[in-house]
Amino acid sequence: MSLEVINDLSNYSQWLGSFVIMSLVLASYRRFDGSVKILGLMGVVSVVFQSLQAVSMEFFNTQYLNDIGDCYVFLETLLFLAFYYVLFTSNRYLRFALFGSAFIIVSIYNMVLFGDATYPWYAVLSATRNVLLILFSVFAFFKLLTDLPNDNLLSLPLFWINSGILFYFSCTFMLSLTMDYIAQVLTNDFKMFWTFKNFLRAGFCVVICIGIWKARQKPSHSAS
Amino acid sequence: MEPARVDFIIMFSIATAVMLLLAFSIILFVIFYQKRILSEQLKRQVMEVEYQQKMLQAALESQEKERSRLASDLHDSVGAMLSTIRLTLHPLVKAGNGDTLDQTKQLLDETIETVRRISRDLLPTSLEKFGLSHAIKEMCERIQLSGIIEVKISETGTPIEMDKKREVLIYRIAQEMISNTIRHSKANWMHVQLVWSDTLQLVIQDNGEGFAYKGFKEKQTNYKPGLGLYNIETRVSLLGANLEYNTVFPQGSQFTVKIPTAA
Repeated sequence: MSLEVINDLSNYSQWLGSFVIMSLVLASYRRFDGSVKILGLMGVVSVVFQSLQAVSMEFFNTQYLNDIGDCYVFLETLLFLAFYYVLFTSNRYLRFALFGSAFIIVSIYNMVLFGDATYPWYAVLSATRNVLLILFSVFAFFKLLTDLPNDNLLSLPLFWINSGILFYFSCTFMLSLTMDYIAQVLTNDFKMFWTFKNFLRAGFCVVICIGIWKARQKPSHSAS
Repeated sequence: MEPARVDFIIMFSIATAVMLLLAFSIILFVIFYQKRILSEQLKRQVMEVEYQQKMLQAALESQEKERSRLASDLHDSVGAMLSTIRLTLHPLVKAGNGDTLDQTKQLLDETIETVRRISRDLLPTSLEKFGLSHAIKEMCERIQLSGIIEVKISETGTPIEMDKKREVLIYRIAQEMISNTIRHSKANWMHVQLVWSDTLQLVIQDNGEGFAYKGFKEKQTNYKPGLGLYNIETRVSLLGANLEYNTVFPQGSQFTVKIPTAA
């Protein structure tokens, strides 16, 4: 199997993962609480942007790193920050930190749009996103432990969703940090790294889907 | 393959593996930490329950000791003194010194009997000497003789000898239940059953007006803690027994206590 085929497969699988997230939430949209709805919205955004990316690459022959990708990373980060904002209802400091993080992301995206075009803004934007989401997922675990539920952790939606976020953004941190370097210097290997990212993304979607499914089984349909 | 490219891929792989390991460690830590905290909480709860049980047991034992001391004092001192007074009065009554002395002697006899009854209730000597079944039967016969209520007692199965402390607890449960029936049920008939098998079933049934057990318990918890039913439930829990309440058709109530015969 050639790298081209594997890359296509990875693209389809991550698209399918996002589509399943979107479908799961939309199927019982009214019954879920805010945090799960935000994940559903993230699924919608993901499906739309991945489709746009595929169209732009197919018909306009654009590069992997383009404005659509930058915009998606920006929106995805804001949605995840909103997800944590809904979760951390009782903690004023964390909510303040989330506002701060959103401000940082908006500032960086502003630089992506209007800053020096030769600067590796994609790496800065996505690596900042990864660091912020890793930190907030650790805080969410801390919150989970301080609340100390009596249930089995594996039955809690938040555990799965948070684990997915922590795994995916930890594993792709180095990739995010070096993506511009790879695109410019290791051009021939770019597809390989991109495929690796896509498969991780598909795995991430599976874990998020488990979390949403668990939330669906819970009487309150909440992630926490 | 160019060395710089190889170096980058190696560095990239190591860094990604380290990040993956860190994420995995955090998740494992969360799982094990929660399990450890929950198991510690469970241990603490078990210890608290055990401690409370021990406290209750100690309180009841000290209550029994106090009752025993009081019963001995009543029987040996007050009872003996009253008997002496009665004997002293006897020649005077015989000499025929009037109605007043007759009445005094009669009053004295009643007082001696009351002291004996109180002493017997406080320390059922038959429980010590002849065992639980005999003591409960004796208590029922006494009530029957008093004419307050009609009491029927029946026993099935072979009695099993139990630890004396457990027997005292069961006796007190029966005593409290019978006393409650006499005082509150407005019944004129009562049936006490002892059913021996792997467990001992103490069933007390009456034809009184019955009552809402759950509602009564809530009221008791809110307003009057430490009353009869609470005492019964405390003893039931100490015995590791099970208390059931049923309404009996057409009227009346039935309490069933299922008690394990082994501690």
